Formats: sequence, structure tokens, C-alpha cells
Amino acid sequence: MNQSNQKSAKHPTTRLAIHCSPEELMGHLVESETQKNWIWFDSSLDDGRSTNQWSFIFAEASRNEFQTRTEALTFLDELTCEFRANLERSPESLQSTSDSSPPFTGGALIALPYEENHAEFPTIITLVEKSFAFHHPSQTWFFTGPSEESLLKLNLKLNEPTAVANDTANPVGEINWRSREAPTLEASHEVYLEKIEACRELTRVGECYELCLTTQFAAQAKLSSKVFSLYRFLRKRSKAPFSFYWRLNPKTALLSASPERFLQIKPTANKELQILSSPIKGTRKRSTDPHVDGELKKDLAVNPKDRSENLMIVDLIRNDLGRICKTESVAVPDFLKVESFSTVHQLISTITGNLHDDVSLSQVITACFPGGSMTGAPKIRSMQHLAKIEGRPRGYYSGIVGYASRSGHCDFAMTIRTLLVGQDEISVGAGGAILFESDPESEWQEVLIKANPIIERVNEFVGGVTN
Amino acid sequence: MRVLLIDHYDSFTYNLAQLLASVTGFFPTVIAHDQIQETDLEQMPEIEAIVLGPGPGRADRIEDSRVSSWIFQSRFSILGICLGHQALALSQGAELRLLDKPAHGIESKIEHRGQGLFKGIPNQFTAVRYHSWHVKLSESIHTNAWVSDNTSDKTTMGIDYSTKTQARVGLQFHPESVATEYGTKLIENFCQMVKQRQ
Repeated sequence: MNQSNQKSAKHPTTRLAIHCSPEELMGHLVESETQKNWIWFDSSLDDGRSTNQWSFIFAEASRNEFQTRTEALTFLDELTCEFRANLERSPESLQSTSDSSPPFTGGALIALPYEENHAEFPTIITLVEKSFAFHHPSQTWFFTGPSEESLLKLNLKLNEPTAVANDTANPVGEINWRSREAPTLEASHEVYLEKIEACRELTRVGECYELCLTTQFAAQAKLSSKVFSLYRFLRKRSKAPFSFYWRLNPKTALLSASPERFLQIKPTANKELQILSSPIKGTRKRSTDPHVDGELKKDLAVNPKDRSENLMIVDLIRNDLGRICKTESVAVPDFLKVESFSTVHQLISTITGNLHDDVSLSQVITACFPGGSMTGAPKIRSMQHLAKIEGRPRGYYSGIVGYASRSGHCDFAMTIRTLLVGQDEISVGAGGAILFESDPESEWQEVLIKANPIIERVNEFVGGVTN
Repeated sequence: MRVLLIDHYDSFTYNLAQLLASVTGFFPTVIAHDQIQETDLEQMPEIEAIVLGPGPGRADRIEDSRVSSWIFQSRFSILGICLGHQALALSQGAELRLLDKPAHGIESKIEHRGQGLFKGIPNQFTAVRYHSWHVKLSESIHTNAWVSDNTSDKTTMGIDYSTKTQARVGLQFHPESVATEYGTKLIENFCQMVKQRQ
């Protein structure tokens, strides 16, 4: 464990008179302040109706790694209690609940792996030195951190013509993907079909109602020195509201195009803390033919299997929120809504509630983590069976990544559609909910629909494709 | 009314707890099925009824429902949901059977006799089912609700073994699901049945 004694410093938030996109600012910061670890929570689905209106660029102040979830949550509670005490001392900061002031005003970033205690996958809690917040609807920048001379020069530098970002990797040639189950894709197909049958059998005899079975694809590749240009290359094709770029530590980077919000917490005008979760269950590939695309979307909206799959998770999330929310406050404002992303249509529901006054962030995470859309139902029994069937840890995949702000706001993405870049290996996880009605071959296809956009784009990158 | 809710490590237990709280005005005491013993009930004088919650596995397997071996001998009124409903039926000599095809997250139309739990609820209302097993009662007189569709064998959805002093009722479907109609009314009716027998 590498715990920092440094408290997260409190700094004012100011509006910045700069005009650039998050991609331009991030590019500038990564190139000009190379000694800093820059982290980007990138709401890259910038089409005006996105569920995430904010992008953030953070500079890491200090990184804390925890081998057990208990240690990590204790640390998080100490930190957020300090935030809460600050809020109570200066309640005017609660005014920052208007939609156009930044929800993050200093605090901590958290990457929580799926397994509770696994030496290979520590929980990371990073304290933030300074942050840039971009409000997409108004195209406005905010800054939280110590005022510096470099900030004053920022506008000047940004207005200078910069070299066009060159995201063409020096071709490193072909890489060979395999699944964790088997050395070839054909063999993993066979193994995965058997695992689907094992899950179907568990639903037949009432052990589980649905199981979110997953697998991972991996390839040997040394890409850790190129992670930022790789991320920029990936995001050009896969826009998603909860994308992120985070070099967790020297060994691991997460490059995500996550479409899913695990949890958001925000203070409301009547001094409640509202919690919101938007689980995804139900996927269709997009088609370039608008007519076919429309038919796929329609099928997702009315298909009984997708409806059951999503309904079960809605009931599960209502249950999890019901453990920590006030009586009669849990509601489902969006039930089975189809949302369309770059490569897939998804069925999404939204569940909300008002937290009990004395609930800590660690209690929230304990009640709700791992997200039901990654486990199946009922959660505990499903996780027990999945651990045996999958036979290997999920690690950061299926976990969460997000922030806890001193303003009381928290926001966590589900770590899915995410490329993990290790020192010698890259990997991506994918899966889907298995019900008794599941057609094994279609379920395998769903795994590929989710993993292939990332795998193919990485292949283009290492092969030297230039757009 | 104060309720003890037995949790079978399900992911819907707290939906039931929230529903009970909204009807009774008190958040129920929630205890896991393997964390409570018969003698513990004596330490809970405030409890007026027990809800035996849903859960995975089999109602006749002790690991999945430890309380079912003794709870039906207690003096309390009991409402069983899903696994709890099956446990109640088994205690009355019913058989546990597998459905031809499990019904998980399925919305079905429910037909009923309009009695007990179903008083004042229209026929053919929608309820959500999460089950692979169902119960075959030895006497059909105790069946008061079933699935209304032509293809099934009218799978039992509600049972009533109440006496003059105890309400003993079960629901195979989940009254607490977001897509079940009349969930609140079903719980209100249970509370009414308990009160009438006090």
C-alpha cells in the first residue's frame, strides 16, 4: 500500500476564458506538462442530448493503492467525511447545484476492481491537484486548483497554431488476439457456448434468474508508451458519454468508451442527496443501412427477452437503492428506453432515490457494488456461480471508475467497453446476460458486437491506419 | 404494524421492505434466514406478522431456507413470497415441481377468486414472476390465484391456509416488482387479514 498523508487541498473554482475542445486542451496539457499524470473523464458523445454534460481533465496530486476493498473504503470515508464537514461549514458551496456549475470542485478519483481483494488489481484512489471542467451544452470551461502563471499563458498557447495530432502509431505490425478461455477464437467460441449452457441450466433449476457471463480477449503488445495517442484513435470511432482515459499506475492504463452510468450522487435544492443509476441490459448492433438500423432498434424496444433482462436488473437496482434510500423515495423515471451509440443500440433504465441522511459513500458502494448489470440476479448467488464458471478474475473490467467531489457530487461509470493496457499485454472484457431463453450462438455474437469495435480499432492502430 | 422480513439473500428483499414500510409506516426488521432461530422470536414482542421473502434455490433445501423447518409452528401470521410461498405450501403437504420453462422477469396476467389478499383487485391484473419451481397443492381449495393463459396448466400464483387466528398466505409472483400492478393493495390486504385475526 502506498498511502499519502496529503489531504486534498481546497481551491476556488473559476470560469476560464478559453475556447477549445476537451480534446485540444487535453492534448496541450499532455504535451506541455509531461511530468504530470493527466486523467480525462471524457463525455465524448457530444450531441446535445447526452446523459453526461460534463467532461473533466484532472492532474493527479497523489495516488493511493489498496489491496483490500475494506481499506480503500475506510480511506474514502475519511476523505468524504472531511468533504461533508467542509460543506456544513460553508453551505454556500451547496449552491453549486445549478446545472451549469461544475459538479467536481476538487476531491478524489476512484478505480474499483470487480474482486474484493485481489493482489493483481488494487483499488486506486487518486487525489486531484487541479481540474478543468467542460460544460458541453454551454461550451464553457472551469478551473479548480491553485492559480498559476501557466494558467494565464494557457489561452495564448492554445491560440497558437499547433501541430495536428498525429495518432498514426509507428506500425508495430500484427497482433494476435486470443480469449482467456482458449488460445484461438474458434476454441473460445466452443468453450463459451458450454459456459452459456451451464448458466442456462442454473436458471432452469432456479439457482439464478439471469447471469451476466463475461469473457476477456487479450493480445501481447507493448503499447504503454503510446496510450494517449491510442486513446485518441479509439475515441474517434466510439463516442460514449462515460468514456475515460486513466493511467492508473505505471503498470496499467484504462482506455474506455463506457456508455453506462453506475451511480451518480448529487445534492438537490431541498438539501437531499439524490442517487441515480442507469443500468444497461439489451444490445443490438447498429447497421449502416438506416432502414435496417431502425428495425434493429424497434426489435430491441419490443423483444420479450430483452425486456425481461432489463426488468430484472431494474428490480435489482431498486433493491440496492432501497437499502440506503428513504422510504418511498425510490423511483424509476426511465423504464426500458432505447439509446443509440456509435456502434450499438442499448436498452437503458434509470432508477433514482434520496439517500438517508447518515449514509456514507462506503455504505452506498457496499449496497450497490458490483453493479447488477454485470452480475445478474440474485446478485450474491449469481456472483458465486459466475466465479466458478468464469474461472478467473475480472479485475478492473466490470468494476467502476468515477469521482467523489468535495461539493458532495459523485459520478461513477461502469468499466465496460474498456481497453486495459498493461506493460506487455492489452485486454478487453465483454459479456451478456444469460437467461433460459438465451440462444447460445446469439449470446456469443453479442460478446463480439461489444468487443470487436475495440479489437478492430486497436488492430488498425498497430497496423498503421491513419484515421 | 411491525413486520419481521426474512431475507433469503435475494436481490429483491429491500423492494419488499420498502413496500412494507410504505404500507405499515414502519421499516420492517430484516434478518437473513440463516441468522435467526426460533427462540429469537420471543425477544421480539413488537412483531405482529412475518413476511417470508423470495430467494434463489429450492424451498425444500435447508441451506436455501433454514427458517422453513420451524417458522410455520409459530403463532404468527405469515405472508410468503416466491420461495417463501413455496415453503408455506410444502409445510401443508404440497409438492414442489419444476416449470417446463422457467419464468424469470415474466409479466403474466393473474386470475383469482377475489378473496383474502386479492380482495378489491380486478381480475387479469399484471404481475411479475421470478421462478423455476411451482407448487402443486394437495387440496385445490387453498388455491386462490393462478396464471391466466391458455397454454399453461394454470400455475398456482396465490395460496391461502389462513385460520381464525392466523393469516397464512402466499404469492408465487413478486408484488414488489416495478411492473406488478396492485402491489400496495396486496400488502394492505395482508395487513387487514392480520388485524382481523388479532
